[in-house]
Amino acid sequence: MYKEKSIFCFLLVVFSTLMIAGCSPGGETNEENAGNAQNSDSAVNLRVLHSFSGSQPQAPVIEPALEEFDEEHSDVTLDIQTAPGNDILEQLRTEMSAGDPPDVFTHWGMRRVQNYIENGLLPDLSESIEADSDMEDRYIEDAYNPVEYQGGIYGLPFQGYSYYLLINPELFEEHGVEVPTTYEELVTAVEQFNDAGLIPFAANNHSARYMMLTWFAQKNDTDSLIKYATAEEPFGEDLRDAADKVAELSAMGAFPEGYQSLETAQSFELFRQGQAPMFYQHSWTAGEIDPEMEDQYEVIPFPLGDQASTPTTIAGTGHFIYMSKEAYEDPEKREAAWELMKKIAGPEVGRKFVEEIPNPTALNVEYDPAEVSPVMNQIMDFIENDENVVPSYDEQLFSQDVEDDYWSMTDQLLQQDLTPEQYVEEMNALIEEYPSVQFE
Amino acid sequence: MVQQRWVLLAFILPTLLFYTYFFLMPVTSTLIDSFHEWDGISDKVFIFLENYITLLQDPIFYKSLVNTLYWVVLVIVLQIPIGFFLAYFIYQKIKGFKFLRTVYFIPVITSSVAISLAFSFIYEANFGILNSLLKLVGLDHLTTAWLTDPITAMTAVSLPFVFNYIGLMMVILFAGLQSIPDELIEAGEIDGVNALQKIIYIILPSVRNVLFICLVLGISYAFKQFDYVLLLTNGGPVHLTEVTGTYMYKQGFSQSNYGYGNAIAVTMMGIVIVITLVINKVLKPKD
Repeated sequence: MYKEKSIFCFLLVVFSTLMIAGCSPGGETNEENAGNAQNSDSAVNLRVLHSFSGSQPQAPVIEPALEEFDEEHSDVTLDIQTAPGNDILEQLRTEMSAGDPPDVFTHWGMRRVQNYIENGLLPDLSESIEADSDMEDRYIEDAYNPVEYQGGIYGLPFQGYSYYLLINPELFEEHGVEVPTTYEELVTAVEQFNDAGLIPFAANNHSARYMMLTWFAQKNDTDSLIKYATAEEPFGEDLRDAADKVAELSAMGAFPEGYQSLETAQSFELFRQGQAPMFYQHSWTAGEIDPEMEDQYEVIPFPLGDQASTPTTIAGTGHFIYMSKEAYEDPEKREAAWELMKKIAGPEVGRKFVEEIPNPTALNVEYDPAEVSPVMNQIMDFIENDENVVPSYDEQLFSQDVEDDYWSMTDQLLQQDLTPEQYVEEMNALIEEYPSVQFE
Repeated sequence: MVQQRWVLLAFILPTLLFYTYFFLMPVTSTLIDSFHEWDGISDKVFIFLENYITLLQDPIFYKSLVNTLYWVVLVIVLQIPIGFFLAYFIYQKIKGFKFLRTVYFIPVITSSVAISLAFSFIYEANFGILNSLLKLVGLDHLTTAWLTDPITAMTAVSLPFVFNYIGLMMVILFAGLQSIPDELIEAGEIDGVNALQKIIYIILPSVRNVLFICLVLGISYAFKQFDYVLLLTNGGPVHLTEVTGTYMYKQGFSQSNYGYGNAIAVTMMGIVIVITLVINKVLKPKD
């Protein structure tokens, strides 16, 4: 009897202990394991999280670069984890919240990392950048802008972006439509394509928002964009006019039915199938264009809003590589992580971005135009030579809290739940509440 | 006797530990966090009922609650009735009823991602099967962007959920139908009831308790579901198809507003408990 009781008690204690141990947070255990791994083969173990895997256009450049680094550095072991596309947002947030951040990770700029910087989870890399001669003149002008926060620099840029207007000249010719250079001409073209039974723009809600931002940017330079983002000046007529234009286009059927729920790839399909003659999008989509079709398309300047508008290209740097504070504080990891960051945000990857993906790069690199797709050559030409090249509010300048709300607010405008006047008022209220403090 | 108590304890304790660790502790933690302002990274700031006060004034929450209640209505008017008629159909033991039973149950074991993908192909405004079919039969004027049109969006995003669980309702009700004594039905038939009278006066009262289970299950599933909305519309456009589950998820994981997200979760739990108690009162199972 006593023996049985003892066995039961013993089993219960063992079971309970195992369960509680099994369910306890894994951070320490992981660290211990990592430490053991290091001790056993004296290699520095770096956990890397990135979003460029699977069918992401950047995967063919980023994944081999990571493998190459792994092979070149016998003293470093990479534990690579991926969360394709936007999945990385939740993945990283969860890991940060759990106090178990990756050592190195790729992410967007301030609009997605401000919170981490403010909470001291990312280190200021200014000193490392200054101390490293490799970093001199490595990046294009203002490339650090989206990762600068109150005087510090928190990541290294590697991917650029630009918005581009792609047309199918054959459809313009077939339907006798002039290629638009102004908003009025664009309205005429939209009406003509509507009459011909075509969808004027292969667009989703992002395209519509990019169009509004471009008309707005045609009357502003980077400094004035920053003034609006910091609430130094309120939005006014320029934004109202831009909002008015895009709302008008939406109302007149310039965009596909149900465009607000279309994925970008779905909207591009309309263009590819010849159902829509125009496509205005983010440059990452250039990697989706069938190489055999590239010669049949043309990138044109975005139509001017009015006579006071300046030919403008929205472009900048959009993706960055970061190191966690924990990795930074460990001298061995810091060194290995820094080398890895330099590799990913380095000239070789930058050149491949333009030539192989294709996608604009954040780096000052020489590339062979003969190796670059015709569409990307035209996009790069606009980035390098347009009169006014400014960043996008979608990618940078706004505070993280504004970014969280302004997309849905713009959707309300497109849905005609807000008038352009109300939209401007709401935007001013939002920015007043959450001004950008990045440049203080 | 003493030995029996030890044995009982041995069997209860693992379950009790699991229940405490995986249910009671998360629920308590959710409740506590709902009284805090917390972005998941910074320190928690105790704000007592402020999240709940904000929630009471949040029009998007009300919109999502109305949309969730619409799902509940669909459970009552579509999911359970269709499940019942399918169950009654196979209860007739027609030829191949076992095969049909399997076919009807397949959606229950199909992943919500696959179902969402199939429905997205059906609804797609430009290439979708539904609009193509309507155009084919000359009903062009009925074509629309099913998932963004304010009139159709909520119903369109709800149908995959209804479709998903009809099979489950059918299996539960079929089990209930099989428990009805044959004598009861035979007695009714001798008394001359027709098919409709048989269902209304004999079958339905006999499966009343099972219907109650279906109702409670259906309502709790309706409140828990969010994957179809997330996959088909992500709650858009402009929160048109938002349900409480997606709103809670977005507040927590997209906007780092964990305290507020937890307040939504606690409120949802309270609503489900109240609804269940009301149903329990109205349709109290009889022995």
